[in-house]
Amino acid sequence: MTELIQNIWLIPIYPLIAFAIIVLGRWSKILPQKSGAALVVGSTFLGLVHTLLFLSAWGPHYEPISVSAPWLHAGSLTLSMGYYIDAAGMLMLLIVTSVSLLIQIYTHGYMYHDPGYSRFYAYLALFNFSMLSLVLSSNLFQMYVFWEMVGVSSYLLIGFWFTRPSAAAAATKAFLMNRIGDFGLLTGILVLLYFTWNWWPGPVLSFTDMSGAAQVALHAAGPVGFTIMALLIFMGPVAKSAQIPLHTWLPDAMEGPTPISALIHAATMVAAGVFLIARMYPVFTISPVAMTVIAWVGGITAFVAATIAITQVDIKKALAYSTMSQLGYMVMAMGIGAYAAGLFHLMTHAFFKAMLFLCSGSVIHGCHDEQDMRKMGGLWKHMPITAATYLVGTIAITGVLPFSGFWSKDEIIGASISQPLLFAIGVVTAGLTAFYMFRTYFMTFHGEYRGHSHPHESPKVMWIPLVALAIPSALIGFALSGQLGLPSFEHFVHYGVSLVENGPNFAVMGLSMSFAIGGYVLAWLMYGSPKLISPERLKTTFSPLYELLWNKWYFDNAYFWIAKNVYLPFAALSAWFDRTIIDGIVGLTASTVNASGGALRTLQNGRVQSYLMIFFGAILTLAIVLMWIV
Amino acid sequence: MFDLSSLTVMSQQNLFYLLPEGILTLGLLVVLCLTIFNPKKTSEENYALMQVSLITVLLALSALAWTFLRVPVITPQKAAYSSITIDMFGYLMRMLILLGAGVTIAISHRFLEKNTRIVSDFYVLIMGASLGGMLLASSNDLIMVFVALETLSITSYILAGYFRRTIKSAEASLKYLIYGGMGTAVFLFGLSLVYGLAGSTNFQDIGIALVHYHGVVHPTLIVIMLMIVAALGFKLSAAPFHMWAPDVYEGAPTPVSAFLSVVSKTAAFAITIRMLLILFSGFAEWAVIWGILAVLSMIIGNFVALKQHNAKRLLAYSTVAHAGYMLLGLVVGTSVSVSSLLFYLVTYLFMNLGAFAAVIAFSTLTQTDEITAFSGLVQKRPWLTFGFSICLLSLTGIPITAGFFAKFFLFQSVALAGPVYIWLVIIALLNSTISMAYYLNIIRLMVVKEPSAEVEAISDSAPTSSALSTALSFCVFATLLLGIFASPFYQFTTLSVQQLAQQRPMVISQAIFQKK
Amino acid sequence: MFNIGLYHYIALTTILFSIGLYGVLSSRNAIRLLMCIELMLNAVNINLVAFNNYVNMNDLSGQIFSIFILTVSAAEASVGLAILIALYRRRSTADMERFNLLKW
Repeated sequence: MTELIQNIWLIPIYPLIAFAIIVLGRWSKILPQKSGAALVVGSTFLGLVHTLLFLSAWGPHYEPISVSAPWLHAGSLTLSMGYYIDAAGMLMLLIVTSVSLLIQIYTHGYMYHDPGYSRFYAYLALFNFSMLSLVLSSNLFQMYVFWEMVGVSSYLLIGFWFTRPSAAAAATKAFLMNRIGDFGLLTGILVLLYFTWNWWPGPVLSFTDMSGAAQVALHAAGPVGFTIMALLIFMGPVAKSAQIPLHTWLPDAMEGPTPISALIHAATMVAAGVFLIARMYPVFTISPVAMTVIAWVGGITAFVAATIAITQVDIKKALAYSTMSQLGYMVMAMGIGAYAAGLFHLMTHAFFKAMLFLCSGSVIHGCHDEQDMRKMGGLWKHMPITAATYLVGTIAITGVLPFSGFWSKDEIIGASISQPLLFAIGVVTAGLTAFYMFRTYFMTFHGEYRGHSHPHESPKVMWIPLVALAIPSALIGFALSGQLGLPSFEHFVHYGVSLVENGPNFAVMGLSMSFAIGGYVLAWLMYGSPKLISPERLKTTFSPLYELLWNKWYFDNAYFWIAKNVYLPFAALSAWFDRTIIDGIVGLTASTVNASGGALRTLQNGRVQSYLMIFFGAILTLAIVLMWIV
Repeated sequence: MFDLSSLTVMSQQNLFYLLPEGILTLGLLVVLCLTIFNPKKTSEENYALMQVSLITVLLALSALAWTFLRVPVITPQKAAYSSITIDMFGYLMRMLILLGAGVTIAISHRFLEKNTRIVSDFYVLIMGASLGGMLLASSNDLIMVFVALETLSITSYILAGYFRRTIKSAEASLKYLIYGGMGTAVFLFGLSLVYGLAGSTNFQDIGIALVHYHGVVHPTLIVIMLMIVAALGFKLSAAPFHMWAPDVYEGAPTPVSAFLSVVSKTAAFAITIRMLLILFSGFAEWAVIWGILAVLSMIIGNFVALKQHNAKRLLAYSTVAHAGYMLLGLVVGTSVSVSSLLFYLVTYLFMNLGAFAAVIAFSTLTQTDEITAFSGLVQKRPWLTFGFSICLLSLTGIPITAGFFAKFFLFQSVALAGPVYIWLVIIALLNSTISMAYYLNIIRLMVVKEPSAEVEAISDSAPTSSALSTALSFCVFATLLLGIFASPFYQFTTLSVQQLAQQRPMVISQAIFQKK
Repeated sequence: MFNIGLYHYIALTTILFSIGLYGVLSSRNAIRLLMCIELMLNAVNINLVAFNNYVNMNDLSGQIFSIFILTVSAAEASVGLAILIALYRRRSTADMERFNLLKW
């Protein structure tokens, strides 16, 4: 039994077996149409239990465990496969297994009437296998392999509803964007290999020897070359974690079924980028330029995504931009050296954002596939459980005192105090976060219902996972904050001697929370209160109060004026920048490639003699070139 | 020169080592005789002849394995008056060629039945071409190179025009013949000048004779090299000598395109590597030429493939691009990079044949190979879609398919050879990112789009050829497993390259090309 | 008079090869084109025989090579003509300019 628990590599194998059984079972038509849920949920549950058993049996100091076996021999290069588990890996394991488990239960309710029910569960199992293997990878190469596998399964899941053309486009876009990042990552890996070729004492590219390798590479490549290498590696996380400028795939990826948005595009896969930064921390930390770039990319993403989120009317798109913004926080934390804070936020965010997405799924389900918040409202009465859990998530993400977002996000903001500009961005973004999150909350759940269908609460199988996720969303931050006498998060997860050791800084937290409360109040005034008191009725019965109401409207108008003259241009600018410059560069590259393809194609005019002319022309040209070179 | 006793000993040796070729010739003759005496056969007879051909190829494969295991090749052996070398490299290449031939025969049967009345000639020609390819892969003499190359080429010309009543097929054949005849003439002119310089047609003698010219920059040498490179580039379909490939691939029957893109290319790589490593091992100019060819092939192949509407034509450009990737291994020319190249060839065989098999299966069902017609195929033929997608993903180089590991090994071996080569790797990586656009487009169409009219018309009862589906499954499995269990193959390729290096006229350190 | 040496042969074959090349690139008639390819191959044959004579007289490999080339090129030409006839039946022309159905 103990040995079984020791073999932690079995955890990804469970979903793989489930995947194989579903595929083979459906192929041979042994399994019925609607099958797979029990298998996949069971495999994930087994994984969770195994993780917990392993955690309880793991030594008192949580020493990292690394096991590798040679896998591929290519010339003098031997690549190995194995597992490496440390506190950060354990954290990811716990997040992936627990969040997946709940989401898979929820999926049963959400997808029950979909004809692709079994296929969906098969993809989920495949994704789980890839993600868990990525987390347990013992070396960078193995991680890259599963990194791509995760991309493939995400591609399958985004494009799951293939009857929608937008889903197909979104899936392809996500894959292409990620490949641009992966191109950088793979080049970075090759460069790292090039500089540390004969150095590796253990398995090549293993995480245990990464800090030594980083020193060797720095020595061999010089600071400039080393920084370029680090930035190439960083391109992978930029794409996977949807950071500017490779972020545009994430909002589009919301075309996939909502459980996927919750699992992949909120809790697990997008966090893999941050996890890779954590694994490659030895490389990044010794390049100050790379760290600065990481911090700024994260900060800018956090801010820009938050401003875009304010204008969204599609509930899932708003949450997608919010995810981007929160990922920006994590990346920023990594960049400023707050390793533990970044991973802490990764954990809390995984719980509350998965829950928020599931709530949005529940809302969409209840409103009969309506995603436009302008056609919602007043759903509090119809779906109280969803509304309550959504409120918990909203409070958690905005960082109100005992809820989890408070501890993790404000720890990041606190850590950034040494860099005033990033600190300002962090605080302002906290305010914006509160504003847009409460805006979605009020628009969806408060006021009068503005749609035309009959909203209803989701079935039990869907709301139980919501409630189950609400508990960690609310409490896990406080529990691991170190304030309750329990060991703090940093006690478990830290990089070497933690780079930033300032614990909770309550002054900073107070500042950021006051910004958050400001955002909340603004949102309430804009979207909450006018709906609570109907202006029309007050106007007729209480004419003296009309002035007051007028003032309220005046405030609204003021907001609209501010919005129109200050904010909207800015938001338009962000959106324009997003759509024109970023997409434009991508589009321009694509069209250049396309155009040159078209031009080259005309050479192929169908006449064999002109081909022969090119044949001899090439020989002559090459002869001239060679005489000139050699 | 030779007394009679040594002749007998040598001829016995020849018979033993060339057993696979012998079996193939015998089977070829049997099928040929059965064919010419009764050209128009019933479909049962055709099926039986297909089985005979397939069994011949399988027998030849087992003979290859048997000779390999029976007398292990510790050092390279000479056969047929040293016009043939028996070494591990030769074994590897001959195995690939036979595998390619077997798969081609299996995937072509139903397609031929549907499109022409004369089926069995096809197998004769395929076996003939494979025979040429096998001899080419192990030849050690310029005359042998020429004869084997022409055996391969002339049968290929006939194969390309196999549907002689179809204008496109006949046109493809004529174009191929003219381009190929020209290529041969240029090749021979180059070879005749090599003979003039060295005074021998034997590889070892030429290699020794050419040692004088190492480091000499002489216009004649450059012209000779370019002539040989151009002709080999034509066979490899490397840009700018690739122009025939798209037209021929589109016009020729699809199984022939598959055969040309895999078997013909494998044989061409075999002789290229052999000539490069043994004859011209001391000439740095080769690296520059191959470098230019590699970059051009990658760029032209990938860029033009983006604009294609026909699946066969797209695959044609994609083979040009893959030739470009593989040539990178020759540019660097270290033993690691050449063995990575060989590993790439092995994977390329399976993934490309698999892709062609899927196209054949599709066009047998729908009578078209326009890319847009593939839309929504998953709803009618999910397993075909799955197999095709795996092959396309492997061609793109996505883990955990073999294509990824092949690319990774090759690119890392190139990158590690020196800082200059990193640029080549970056170009290659960018190109493989571009290639994703058109490979994934097909997958996207098949999986995501509404079924096209052609796909809608596929009836559920339309039969699938068991030979074809077996061959496709074989390719897909190989593509999936080769990546994960790459090590034994890689060791084999490493040994092959070591044996090639032993045949060099002189040892010039690990890097075969030393910059002057 | 001057002695005929190796260089004269090489000059001859180069000229012959170039004539063939020019013919291949310029003729519109497919049969003429095939004949020009034969011309190029003949240049090679002369080359080989000349080299055999001047460079290495110990064996006859150059001459043997040229005989192989003769044989194989005959096969190639016959295949070429057969294909051309098949094409001619469908298109009623041997004009290379017309054979451009396959392009782009």
